[in-house]
Amino acid sequence: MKTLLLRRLAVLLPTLLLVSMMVFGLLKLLPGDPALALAGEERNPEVVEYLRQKYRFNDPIPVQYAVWLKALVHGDFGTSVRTRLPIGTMLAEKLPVTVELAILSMLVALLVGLPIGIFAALGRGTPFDYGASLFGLAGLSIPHFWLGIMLILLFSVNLGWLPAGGFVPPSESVGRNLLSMLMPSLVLGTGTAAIMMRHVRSAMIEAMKQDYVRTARAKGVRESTIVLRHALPNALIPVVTLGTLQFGELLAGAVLTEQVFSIPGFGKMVVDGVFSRDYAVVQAVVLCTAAVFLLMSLIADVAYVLLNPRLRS
Amino acid sequence: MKRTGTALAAILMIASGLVSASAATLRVGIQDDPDALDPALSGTYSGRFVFAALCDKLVDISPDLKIVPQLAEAWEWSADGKSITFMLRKNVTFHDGTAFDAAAVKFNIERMKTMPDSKRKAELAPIASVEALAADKVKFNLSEPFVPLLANLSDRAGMMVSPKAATEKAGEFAAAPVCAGPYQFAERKSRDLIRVKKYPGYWNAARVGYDEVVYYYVPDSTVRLSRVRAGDLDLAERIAPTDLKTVRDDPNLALHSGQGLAVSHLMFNVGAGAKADTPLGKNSTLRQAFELAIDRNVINRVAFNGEFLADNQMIPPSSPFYDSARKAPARDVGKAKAMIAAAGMTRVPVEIQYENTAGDSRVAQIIQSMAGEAGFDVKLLPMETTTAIERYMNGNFEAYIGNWSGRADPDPTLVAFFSCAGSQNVNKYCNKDLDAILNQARGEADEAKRKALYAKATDIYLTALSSIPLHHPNWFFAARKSVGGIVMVPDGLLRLVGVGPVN
Repeated sequence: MKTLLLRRLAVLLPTLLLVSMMVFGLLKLLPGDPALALAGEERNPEVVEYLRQKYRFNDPIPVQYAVWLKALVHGDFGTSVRTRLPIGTMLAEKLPVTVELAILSMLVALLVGLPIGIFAALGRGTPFDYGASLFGLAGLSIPHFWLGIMLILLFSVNLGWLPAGGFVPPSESVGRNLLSMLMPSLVLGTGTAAIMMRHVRSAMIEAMKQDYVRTARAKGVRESTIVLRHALPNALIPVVTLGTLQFGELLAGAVLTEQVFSIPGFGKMVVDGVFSRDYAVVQAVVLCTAAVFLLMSLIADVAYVLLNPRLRS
Repeated sequence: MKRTGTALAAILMIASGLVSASAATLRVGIQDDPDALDPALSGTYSGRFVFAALCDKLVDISPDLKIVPQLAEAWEWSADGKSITFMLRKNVTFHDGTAFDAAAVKFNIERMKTMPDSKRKAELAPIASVEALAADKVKFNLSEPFVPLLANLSDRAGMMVSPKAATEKAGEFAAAPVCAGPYQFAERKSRDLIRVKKYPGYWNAARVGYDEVVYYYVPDSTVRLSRVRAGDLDLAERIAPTDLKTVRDDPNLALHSGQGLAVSHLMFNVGAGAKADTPLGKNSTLRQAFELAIDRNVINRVAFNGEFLADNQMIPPSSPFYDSARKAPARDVGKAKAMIAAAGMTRVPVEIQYENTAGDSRVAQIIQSMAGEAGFDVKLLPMETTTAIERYMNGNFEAYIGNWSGRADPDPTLVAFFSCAGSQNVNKYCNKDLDAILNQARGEADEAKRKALYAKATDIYLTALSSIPLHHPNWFFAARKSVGGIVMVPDGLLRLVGVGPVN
């Protein structure tokens, strides 16, 4: 267990370095001149040249990378070339929003996906099971932006129950914060819930076929005990892994959901960063996301071992 | 179960009641996240939109594009047109309490002319020196007579920032700008919101109706409108033409629309590198045939629900210098075909490049279909914006759908696109006669004479047709009826003096 942890932690840093190099290289492969994009509508050649010098767009890519890395090691993420705001502050503002949205969406996914998956597995072939499959299909295939706009029209425009978008920091008001996050996390959560549901269902069906379930039944154990004590813990092992990775993905930001509900998270920040060739912003977000994702996969591995006694030796 | 449902609904309703902010805050939805909040550096419309609250300018423009006083109360041109003296408003202070005076004006003009990455250099280029004659009197000496200067000063080039703040916070000024406008900067959460609060020391504070204005970044226009409809925002800018019916049908909303300065036009590469070597690039008759092959009204109707203004000139009809004698020709496919035949061709190939936005894509497809009927084989080449800009600047296109934001004065637009060395003349059109006329017009103080010169210029560029103007976008704001006093100005900015809550 300890060696596993140490081994994984040792790989973390080189992986992050590799990720940052790849992103840096890929960004530089993009066509288009960032200095021209920055120089305003008139694009005065003098200004364009100054911007090229100032942001070292003319330097060889390895040099640019080294400069960026050196600053990063000193804790400086740099400044956004577009807004002239420090990227460290931008990250500090966005990270809590993204994390909150991810947690709430995961909560929705668990509260919806788990029970439906379990009951669908137990009642295989019943109308409920078909309904659950339908939900799974819909959850996966309905585009988030469409669902988001429909929810806004219903709950904000027609019923007036919920704010149509925007983010209220919990420091300002916890209640309004939760209200503003309700629809976004529902939209994001349903997609994840559908994936969860399908996995729980098949894992549960598999578990219920196992010998120990038959033995338990033969002993006369109550059906609810069989499900909750014997089958479910085993069925959950792959689901935990999946859930952790899904959570990592939610943390990478949800571009469309953020856009529809004007949630200031990572997703739109990185996309706009790419479009305006704001390299430092993209680098910072990707690095953050990669770190979180690696951490989540580490947690998934650990949880897997903890849940599965056979792997503990 | 039913009771829980009702209780939940009740809680939600009470809570959402709390959501609506106090009456003295104006919540505005803007389409883009503004760039650097420094008038010397800013290069976006959304940035200018926020500056309308933060930074007053020496002069302003009125809805009919006349120059009106703002920080300067009056001005006087010298007889030779080579200098202008401004009488400044007294008792004006910047948001940090320092005084606005002639020395501050001198500082600002020099700052924008010398800052290495200043985007205002071209607009202020004719100013050779600035003299502070008295605390409230400042003189600009010009290198040559330059009438459009006042129009330039009605935008960012005329915005005055606090010299103290600009010197002390040089590098970080854009993160917390200090100007002399009706509202002062309070906070900015990047890609989320910009909050400004009323500046009690503003010279016209009595007419400032809201205590606070918050600009929320809401990129999607449908969502922006939904939030205004839900009462989550009080006003949203740039409503999509396809959504206007929704605004008109909503009893709680008012649609504010107005003519804009911008123009969308189809540029042909007539002289920039290898891509100019096309039938359309070499032959102005074919370009005239192309103009006859398309129907601007159809483009407007199909792509923009007929809500924009189909027009054949770079200068919008709202300008006093618009040439109303030069009407757009009606579509004439037969004549276009005959002109193509006269040029010894049957099919004329052309590749149109454009930024892959919804609007431009629709325009390009409509042009493709209409021009095809006359004998033009149009290939479409959509490009991601930054890539498109680079190819545009390098003249790497056969034809390009350009979107120019326009200026209050005709000079910057016409010089940029049609003078031989113009900054936007990336398709390399050059006509010395036109250059001479444009040069003469910028020194002509008499409006009637100046108008006659621009009529001549219009004749020349509409005959050469290095660019075919297509339409002028209009401005559309959707606002709650509770927001009063909104006046639309062609630059599409929301001026906040005089705007306030009504019952």
